[in-house]
Amino acid sequence: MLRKPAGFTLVELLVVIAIIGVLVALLLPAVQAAREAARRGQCANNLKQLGLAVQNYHDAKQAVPVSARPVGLTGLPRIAAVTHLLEYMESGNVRGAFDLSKNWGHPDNRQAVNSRIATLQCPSSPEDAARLDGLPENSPWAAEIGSPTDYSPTVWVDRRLADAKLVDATATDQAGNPADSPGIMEYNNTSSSFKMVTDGLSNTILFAESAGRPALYRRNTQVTSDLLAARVNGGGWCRPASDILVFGLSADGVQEVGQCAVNCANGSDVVESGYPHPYLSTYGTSQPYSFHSGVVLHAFGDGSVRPINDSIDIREYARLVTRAGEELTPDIQ
Amino acid sequence: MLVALASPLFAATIGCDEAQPPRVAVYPVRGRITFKGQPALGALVALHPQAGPREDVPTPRASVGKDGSFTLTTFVGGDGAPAGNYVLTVKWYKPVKNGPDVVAGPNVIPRKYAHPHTSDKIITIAAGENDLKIILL
Repeated sequence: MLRKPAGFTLVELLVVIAIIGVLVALLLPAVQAAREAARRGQCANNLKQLGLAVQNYHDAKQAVPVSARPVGLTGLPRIAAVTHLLEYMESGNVRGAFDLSKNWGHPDNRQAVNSRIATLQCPSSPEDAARLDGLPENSPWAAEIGSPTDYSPTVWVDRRLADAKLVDATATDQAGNPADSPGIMEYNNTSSSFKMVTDGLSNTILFAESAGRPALYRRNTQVTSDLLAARVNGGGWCRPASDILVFGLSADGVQEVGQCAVNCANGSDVVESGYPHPYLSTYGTSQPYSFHSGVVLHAFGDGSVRPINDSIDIREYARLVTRAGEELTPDIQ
Repeated sequence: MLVALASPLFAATIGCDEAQPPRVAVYPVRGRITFKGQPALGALVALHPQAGPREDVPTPRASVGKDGSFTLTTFVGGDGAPAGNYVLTVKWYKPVKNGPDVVAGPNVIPRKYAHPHTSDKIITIAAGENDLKIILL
């Protein structure tokens, strides 16, 4: 005889739930990937704004903005290149509150430098957008000043890389020894302009991502959430020391002067090395780093934004950073 | 959610491991460097293979620490160097006071130690632990 079932049996119900479970498990990673792709798109747009701001600045002043880190006995303030770009990226109000005759760390500039600039922050970063950097010389160090940027100019290639024969030496000092090879936005050189970029604007990096600072990240992992235990010297948009001096890292991101150009760490640990750093002194320790998988976005001199694969060797990367290396056009993939 | 978090990780592990070319064997190397009796804090030590640079192996190198000690790195932090004969070069941009600031100064180590062609410090790295003891310049 036939018996019509009154509803679903337990087994049927479990099978349906299991099928739904499998489908959701298949779908979820795709949704996460799509969300990250959208964030990366926004991140690339931010870099584009920076690239265009530099172009507009150059149109107005016939020079590129550079970070000023005056050395020696001088009362001249330290001002980051990004400060000069604020007016060109719709942050004129912050620029207006910043007094260029005073150092970025001066109490009068505190309100301006603590202002968060959304265009300078990459949405892929897991860090709190409202976090702050700190005064490097303060002991104990405190996260109290300087809203962070996830993008910084690549100002030069460290001469130690040429000393270790990890990159081709392109610049030399008076004695014929390797010197730091300048990028487009070279420190202190206020006459830096697109004219000096003889390698070609489309072959030379202007800005790189260095995300998550001042917290130290190595290989997609935050080393510690305690900034007093480990951190990068750099992060605040107002700080000239946030600019990237390309020195490369070992494959695990721990040792300075290495073959890894991007994505091994967002910098070297200034707590471990001590401040001032035995070689870099009061200069920053940031390196190119992103939270995207496999690539770091870069703004080039021509205003284009392109991803650079994180398998790129330091020798090839250095060729992209130097503005007058006279090398063959490198392949960025 | 767990699956969502685990799958990119899983994908990353297989992807990367297969893509990595095999690395040559390296052996731990440590030592100390003093210049005129001073530990050369912040100096850069590099070992250049006598047979010439190798395409697949970065130069083994180290930054000198507080007491003058160093640990060579080739691929990952402190891993050492492949076995062989090397010419050792040292450069020390000893920080100098510049007003209230300190900046990297000129190289204070004699010039002959800056280039693999002129340096006479020959180092042999053998399989196993290597201790270079104290290198005096």
